[in-house]
Amino acid sequence: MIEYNKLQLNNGLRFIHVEDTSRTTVVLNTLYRVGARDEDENRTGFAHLFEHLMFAGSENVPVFDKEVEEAGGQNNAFTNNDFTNYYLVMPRENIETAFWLESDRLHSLNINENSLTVQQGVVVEEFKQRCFNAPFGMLWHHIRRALYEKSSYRWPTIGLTFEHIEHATLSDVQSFYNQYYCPSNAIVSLVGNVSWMEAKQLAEKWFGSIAPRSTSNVNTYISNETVASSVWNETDLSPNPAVFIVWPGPSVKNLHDSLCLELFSELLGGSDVSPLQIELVKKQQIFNASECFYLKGLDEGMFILYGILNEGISFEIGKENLLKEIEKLYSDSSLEERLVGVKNRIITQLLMERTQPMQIAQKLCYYENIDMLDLVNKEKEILENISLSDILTIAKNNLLNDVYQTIQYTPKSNA
Amino acid sequence: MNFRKVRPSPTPISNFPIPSLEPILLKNGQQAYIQNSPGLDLVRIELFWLAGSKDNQQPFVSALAGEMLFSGNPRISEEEIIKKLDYHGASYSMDTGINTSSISVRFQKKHSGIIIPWVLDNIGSVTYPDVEVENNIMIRSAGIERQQQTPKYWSNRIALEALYGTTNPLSRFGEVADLESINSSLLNQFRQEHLDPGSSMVFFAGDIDNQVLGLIENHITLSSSLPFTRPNKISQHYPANGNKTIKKSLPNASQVSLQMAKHIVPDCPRDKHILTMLNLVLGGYFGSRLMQELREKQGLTYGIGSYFKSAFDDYTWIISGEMNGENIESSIEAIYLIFNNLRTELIHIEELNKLKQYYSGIFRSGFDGPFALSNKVQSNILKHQDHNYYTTVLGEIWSITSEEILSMANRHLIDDSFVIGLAGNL
Repeated sequence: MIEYNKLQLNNGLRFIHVEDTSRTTVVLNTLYRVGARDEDENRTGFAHLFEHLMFAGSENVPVFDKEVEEAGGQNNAFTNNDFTNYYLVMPRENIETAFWLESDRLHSLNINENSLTVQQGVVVEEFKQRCFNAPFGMLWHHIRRALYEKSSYRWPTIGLTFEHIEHATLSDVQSFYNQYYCPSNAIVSLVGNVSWMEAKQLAEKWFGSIAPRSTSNVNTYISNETVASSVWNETDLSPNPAVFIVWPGPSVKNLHDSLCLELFSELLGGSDVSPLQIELVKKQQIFNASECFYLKGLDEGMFILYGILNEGISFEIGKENLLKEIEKLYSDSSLEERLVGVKNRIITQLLMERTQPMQIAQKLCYYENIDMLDLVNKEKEILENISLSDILTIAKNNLLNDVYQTIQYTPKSNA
Repeated sequence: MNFRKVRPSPTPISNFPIPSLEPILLKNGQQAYIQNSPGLDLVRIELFWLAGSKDNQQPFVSALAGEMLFSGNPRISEEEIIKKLDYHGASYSMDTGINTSSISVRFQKKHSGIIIPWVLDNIGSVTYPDVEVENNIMIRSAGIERQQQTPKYWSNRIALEALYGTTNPLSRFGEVADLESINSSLLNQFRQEHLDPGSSMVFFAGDIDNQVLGLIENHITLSSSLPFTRPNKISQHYPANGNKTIKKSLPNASQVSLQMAKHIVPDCPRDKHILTMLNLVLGGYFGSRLMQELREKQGLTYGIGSYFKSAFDDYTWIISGEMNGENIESSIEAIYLIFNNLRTELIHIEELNKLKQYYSGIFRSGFDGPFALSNKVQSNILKHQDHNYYTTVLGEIWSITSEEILSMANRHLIDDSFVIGLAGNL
């Protein structure tokens, strides 16, 4: 049981606290409710670029990282389609430094032409490194473009092209900050050896004193698009051809259905004993790698199934066998027993997460962001209550033949 | 006055009670260590062997022998072994390095009675069936071919091969053809000589009680007991003169990957701390000179950094980054300028204190958590360090001077002592 305390400050910021006396370090995690889906379609990659700019200093903190390091701490951040997450890991004795740093960049970020220009260069290099120099580096571009026509989920966090990043202006940056980086759009969690009384005082002192700003998240999302099935032929860095099959899925807020699809993906391809691995990789040797997973999203998720083809195997054979494994699963008599294993594996993972303050801090923010904070203590119970029949019904309702997208990769060698 | 303008003064990282593992001898004489966290409901068991790629000349033999410890025997298949682990929610990982190999299994305590015998009995009776060997070679070969698409793989490989040659374990990469020549009997031989459960050190972490210990003692194989000995120095091939630049063209790449490498053997534990601080200031953390100059000032790269790849006492110092081909020359010049600066100018007290504070913070946080101690103790045992060694580390860090760092820079940050590997769109 994670015993948490929660407070909403007058400016709208939400603060969650968990006391853990067993550690010398403290985690301060901050989630801003802004991600790639909030971007203008002509300014993609902006939420991620902005994440870089958050380290460029603020009114009272000229060099953010220097202060973190002088306090003996570490920090980093990540952006996805739904939100942007920053974390600080600090020695217990320097926890106030973490509050000072995190609150100052929310209070008054130092945005200037020089830091923008430098970070544009950095992010363009990151784009090239991730998308052009790694096998299947353009995968998320291709999957999202195939799955959506109108939704702002149709581009990846890194952006559609690096030209969008190069063209960002100081005024774009300022208005993005004003719109999204306001207290009411932030959720902060603290996990460590700090009492609730001290944590509350620190939160009120450093975050509570920030004036409320504009309302946030004004985007109207286009969701539940019905896009007809298509086959997309793409080329990307890889030694072998590959087939990806992708379905749109329900929002993570539809907890039951998204969890059912997650469990279905675990049964199909989530471990070394799943049918994808045993049948298609080891026994039939159609693929040299094959997996599937359910990617959760705030408004929509996606079910992804793929295989990297062995030499001499056609796209058609690969795809046919991937789909056949889904059909076989619906009538697999050993599935009830395998579901016990999947649930046991997830429960072990949940127990491991409880030993990691960073995981707890991020999960608190994540669940609060979907207004389901109490889930942090109900995950095991919810999991145990899902039946095989629920899972199969939801899978059949979602993994329909007329809504999936197929992406066929022809290899482009770097050698 | 606006309270935000008053920076909370950072408190220096203080010493702390170093937790310790409880050493015990199992009934059969094997050495074991326990980090007990009663009530956690989780158990982690790790078998640790002093054997790795240095113990076999053929690439991939040690790695495959370790990774395939659950591949079964004529009576029981890999699928059956893994299914039972999976059914009980156990996860596992194997790791093979140059000097050491290990297998780690994590599970809920309530499944101890099933998992512990299952793991030990199957590791003890593995025979590497042909069909599993073929499958694993197929999967691993494809993985290597994917790795070989990246500029970073090649810059690392050509730099290390130039530094150490192609047969030294510190730089042994291997090809798909090497994998394809491996068979069951090679793996069996390696396991019998090096990976017997009875010759391992056993590390327990989590909720450990007499029942868990009893299960281990009853099932661990007694068939062999190799003596625990400190490994010899393994690097035989020092660079004749490190002044080499090796290039590999990858026409489809959009960047060039740069790796600079040199070999170091620190003389004593204090030298290691000084080297760690020199590496931090060079490229070991976000505030380093490399990151600040090439990323935060010039915006030339997403990431550039430096680190030590250690193999017992042998350190390979690596500087690594990706950037546009047209910026490579100026980046190397900037790196040499940083070398020069570190050789000629004392680190200012403010930067020195920041380094010490950061290093101390990282060091101390490494002891947090119910599973943190095992790795530290393994390394401590490997280096024959006193159990109280860690209590001295913070004191050592805080006593290091700018002069010592400058002197270390003069010994090691010599421009032409690093080999340079460049791979990508040259």
